[in-house]
Amino acid sequence: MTSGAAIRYRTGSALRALAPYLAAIVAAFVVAGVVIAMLGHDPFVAFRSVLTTSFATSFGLVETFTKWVPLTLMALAFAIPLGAGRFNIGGEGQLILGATAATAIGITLSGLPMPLLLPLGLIAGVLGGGVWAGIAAWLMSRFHINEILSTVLLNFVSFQLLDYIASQVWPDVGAGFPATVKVGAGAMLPTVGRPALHIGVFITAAVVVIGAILMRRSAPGFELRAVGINERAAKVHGIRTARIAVGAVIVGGMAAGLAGAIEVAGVHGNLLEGIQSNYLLLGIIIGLIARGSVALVPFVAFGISILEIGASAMQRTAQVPAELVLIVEGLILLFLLLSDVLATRWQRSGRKRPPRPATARQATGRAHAGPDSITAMEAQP
Amino acid sequence: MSELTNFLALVVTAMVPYVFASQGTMLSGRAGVFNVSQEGMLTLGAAVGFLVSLKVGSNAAGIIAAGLVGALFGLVLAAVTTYLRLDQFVVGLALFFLALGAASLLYRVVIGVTMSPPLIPLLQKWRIPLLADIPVVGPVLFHQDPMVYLALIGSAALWWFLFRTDAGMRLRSVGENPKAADSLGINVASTRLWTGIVGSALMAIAGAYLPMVYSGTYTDGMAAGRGWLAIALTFFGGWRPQFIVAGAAFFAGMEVLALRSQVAGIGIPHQFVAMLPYVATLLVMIFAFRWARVPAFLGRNYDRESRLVG
Amino acid sequence: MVSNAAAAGPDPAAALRPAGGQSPVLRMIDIRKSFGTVRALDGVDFDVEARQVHGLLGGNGAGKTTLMNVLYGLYAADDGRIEIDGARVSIRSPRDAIAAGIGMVHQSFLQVDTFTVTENVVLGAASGSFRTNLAPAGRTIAELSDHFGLAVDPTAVVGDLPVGVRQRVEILKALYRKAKVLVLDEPTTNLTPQEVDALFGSLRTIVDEGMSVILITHKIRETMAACDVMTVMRDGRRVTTVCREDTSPDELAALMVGDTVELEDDETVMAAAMGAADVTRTAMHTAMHAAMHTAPPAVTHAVPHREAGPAPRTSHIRIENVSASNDAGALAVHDVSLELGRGEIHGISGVAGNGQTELAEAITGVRPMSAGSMTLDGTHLAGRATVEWLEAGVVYVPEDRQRDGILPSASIAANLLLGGHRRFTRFGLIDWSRARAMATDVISEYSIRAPGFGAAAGQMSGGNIQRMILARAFRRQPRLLLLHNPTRGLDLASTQFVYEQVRRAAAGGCTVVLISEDLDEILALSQRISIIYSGRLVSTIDRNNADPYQLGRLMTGVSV
Repeated sequence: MTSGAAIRYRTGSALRALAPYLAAIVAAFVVAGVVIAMLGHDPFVAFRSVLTTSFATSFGLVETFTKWVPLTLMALAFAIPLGAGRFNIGGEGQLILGATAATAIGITLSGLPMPLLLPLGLIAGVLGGGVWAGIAAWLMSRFHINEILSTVLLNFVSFQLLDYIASQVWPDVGAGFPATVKVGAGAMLPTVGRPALHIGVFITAAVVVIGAILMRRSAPGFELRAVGINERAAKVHGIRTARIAVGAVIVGGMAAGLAGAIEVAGVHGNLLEGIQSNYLLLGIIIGLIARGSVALVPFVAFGISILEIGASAMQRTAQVPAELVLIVEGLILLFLLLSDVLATRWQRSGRKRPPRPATARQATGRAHAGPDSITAMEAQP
Repeated sequence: MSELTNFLALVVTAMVPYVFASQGTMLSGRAGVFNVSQEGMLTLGAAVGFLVSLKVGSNAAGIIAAGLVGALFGLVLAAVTTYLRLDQFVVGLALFFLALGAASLLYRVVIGVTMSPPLIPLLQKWRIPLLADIPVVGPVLFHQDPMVYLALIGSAALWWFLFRTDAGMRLRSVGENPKAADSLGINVASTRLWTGIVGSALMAIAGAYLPMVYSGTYTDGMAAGRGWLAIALTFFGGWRPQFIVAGAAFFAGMEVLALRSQVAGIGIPHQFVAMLPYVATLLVMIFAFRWARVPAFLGRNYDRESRLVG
Repeated sequence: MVSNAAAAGPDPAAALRPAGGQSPVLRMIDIRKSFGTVRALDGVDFDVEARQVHGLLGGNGAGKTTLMNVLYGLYAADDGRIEIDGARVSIRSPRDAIAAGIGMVHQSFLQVDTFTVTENVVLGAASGSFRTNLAPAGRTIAELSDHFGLAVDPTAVVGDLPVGVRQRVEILKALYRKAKVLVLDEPTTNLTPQEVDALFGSLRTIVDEGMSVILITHKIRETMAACDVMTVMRDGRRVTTVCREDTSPDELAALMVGDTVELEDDETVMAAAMGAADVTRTAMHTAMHAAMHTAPPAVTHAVPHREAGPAPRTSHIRIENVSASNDAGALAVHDVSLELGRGEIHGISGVAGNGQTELAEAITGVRPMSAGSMTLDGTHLAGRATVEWLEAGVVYVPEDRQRDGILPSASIAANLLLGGHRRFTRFGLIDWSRARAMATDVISEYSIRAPGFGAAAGQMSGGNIQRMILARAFRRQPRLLLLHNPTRGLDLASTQFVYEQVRRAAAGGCTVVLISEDLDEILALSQRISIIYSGRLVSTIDRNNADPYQLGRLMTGVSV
């Protein structure tokens, strides 16, 4: 193949890869627009505030990035195990445990200086999330308990644990709801700029970059995806599949734990009821929309952050309930799945004619694009 | 009423949502459709059940409306997994989000933000003549709301249908080996569709029951994990209606126990007691997963012309 | 006579037609079907008369099964029509086919393992009542079973039954539905010679009762033994239809293979296709030839393996008292011992489900041994992780290629790395440019037909997938190569390719264990043959003394 053809092939595949996303987003907004109109509001006013709030002010942009941090990490918490074919629906619990561990360090060692206390808190958060996910991973490998159920059930356990710690162990009695006292000043993430942006954003960016490289290029990353695509074949070819699956779930839990630690150290300064927000759902949606690709997660997460920040603005300006945004996100996912199928069908019917070599290659590359398929990776430069 | 009788009567009431949701999971699972949107179906069912009951003034209308909305979601799940062969877990999760969003949105649109939410009347208890006078058993089983009777009679009917009729045998064959069923002229697609629809409807009805016996109103998150527990219960019950009822009694017992000891105060922090149902479920699954005979084609999609299958 | 029914010469089926000018029971006219770009059926005409066993003969990929799946409503034809008893029928699903009097026994049995025989047979048949009442059906099934000599217990759970019985359950399903035309797809694949004879006896009874039987097969010997008429298919077309009396195995083989395909070593392949023992023997000599110079001395008598002659001189692999459990935890391999020489091709033959998969996995390190040991040139392997076996040079080519062999949605390059990926790392990261270069080489060296190294492996045809798996296996320079049913589902050219590669590897000193349910394949390649029966190696025989019927008795545990 000449280099010219190769370049054409790449732009062609980039367009092909983007098309389903665009179609899904447009379709979801059309449906939402109809619902908004039926509720008696102006869909265009609503959409304008949803889409522009993040960029209208520097405050909006900082808010969007602040939201992007937990969304990205929670999406990784879902996407990394998904790469190995495991569904981690326990990001909430892992986030809470991470936040709890970080808070515990931040309160009990509050006298330590920042260069010591902050890393300790973050590491504790990562370990807390990892341990919580480790319980589910252990049940999965030792007793073959479906990880969807075990991770979800552990979420509910973690809510009670949070309640106990926030109302019995280190309660802030003046708060009026379950919340702990604040962590020491040294446990808080430094900020940059004005309005202030905590540096958890850069930590998250670094985690994503390292994570994406390891997933694509490292031997364990290769093994993880092999397990996700065909666990039996992976096992037959010498990959320690149980170990990989357990590792994937634990690493996912660590990402969620880091999200919890950063929420404490960058946003709240303490552990409080509801700290998990709706990050679990959003993380899963992002992970699924990104088709489990670690490299795609930060971009999808940014898009969802825009929607989330825009949602409350929409409620103020257009009186449209913010809950609508969750439906829009669910619809984007559903339409994305549908457009994948339709694209494959069209390709199949189009392939009845003898294909030219270049298009044949695109067809085979796209047709089987499962979660973070090695094909997708191979097809890129 | 003695303490024990009172406790058992509460357990029987608490069983109902588990029975409906879990039988729904079992029914569609027996045809190969594994629905993981239970938690969303329960939540949406609760919202729809509450709102329709409030506006129409009849709890029955609320239950029926919830069932219809659940059926619609079930139709979407069954159709896109059967005809387009989309991944059942992914679609189930997507529907779970949609249902949660829709539940919140509906409540916000209809009720708005208010400090004093409106209430619907709780379900009336029906007294079965004579039987209700039997000591202990009477008040526990025969002085309950109609949904209790429906849950128990429906479970028995479901068992009879699945294991004692030709149609039930055909349904089970679809979840075990759809290619075999198809080769014998059994309509795999329509079986998956109707079980998917009825299954989801049962889950939504389970949700509609919640505001009608507990709070009288809808709040976000009121399913409190019952949907997920129902999935665990289905495995625990070995995908058989009769054992699901037995398992539901255990799950409901845990729930009531946690609630009551919270009120009574038994020395240990109430949060740890509240963990009980979830921790107990995790422990129980250690045994249940080994025991459960799962339908062989559960969670998979059938493609007649696939040259790879079979 | 309709003109298009006899595209290739006169219609011999018409000659057997009873006087009176009745139309055939089944008539398929101009059937077309494509899968994507692959034209599986290209205008096929096919007639079947009453009271006939009609053989449908062709190599893999000839379109036999596709044609019958169209008849049974499993595939929707793109074009063409079907007539039953002279009337046009529309068959859109198996339900229509059953109503039209078609019954089909598929190669992989379509049964619900957890149901009883009776439940499986009556499933889907209208019983007239809503409530299940299996008693009358059970009696009918018992009578049918008796009448046609099928020997099936209606109350048994099919999951517990051996393969041969499960096949007869499939036949009962068709009989119970009063089928006029019974289609059997490669029915002898997993049967012993004795069971094959019994099956053909039952088929004769069935046609004597007035039904018709269509027998899909790629084995000429079977059509010669069982069929009145045979239709040969090739490349999605009907080549010809001939009466048994008017043809010979050689002519059928030539028709099957065709003139267009060039085969370097077609004698062996043809032998495997024909399944004729005497032809196989000639081919076997050819087969042996390549590996002969490194072959161990022959064991001259059929004796149980414990007493099996002296160990090969250059004993290189020693398998001692190996036992292993299946996935359900039951012991599936009992006390297996073998000694294998360098460059030996050792066949292990048996009826499917006698522990072959478990044995294969146990002696390749995929499945833990519950007892026993294995050494390769003195290195102990038992109890080690799979990856260490791989590094020691043990390579396994599994039976189920889709399930155990490939990452379907991953690229060819990634699939070729699988297992050896840690050798392709630089600074801890996989060197993809080296991997891609390697993949490009392999694709041309092994003539893998694929758009490029980036194509998804699962999108290739079965033959190309197997070429890729073998390429991966041979690139590791194995010291022990274990192949399980390596040519199942492959076309003749790919089959031949596999045989060549295996012989070449053996000639290079690699020990090959060939586990196959295809007796002809075992006879064509192996120097020694072990028979596996319910998890035990019941006998080890020198190839030159192997008699198919004796092997059949051993495979069924009739004689030890």
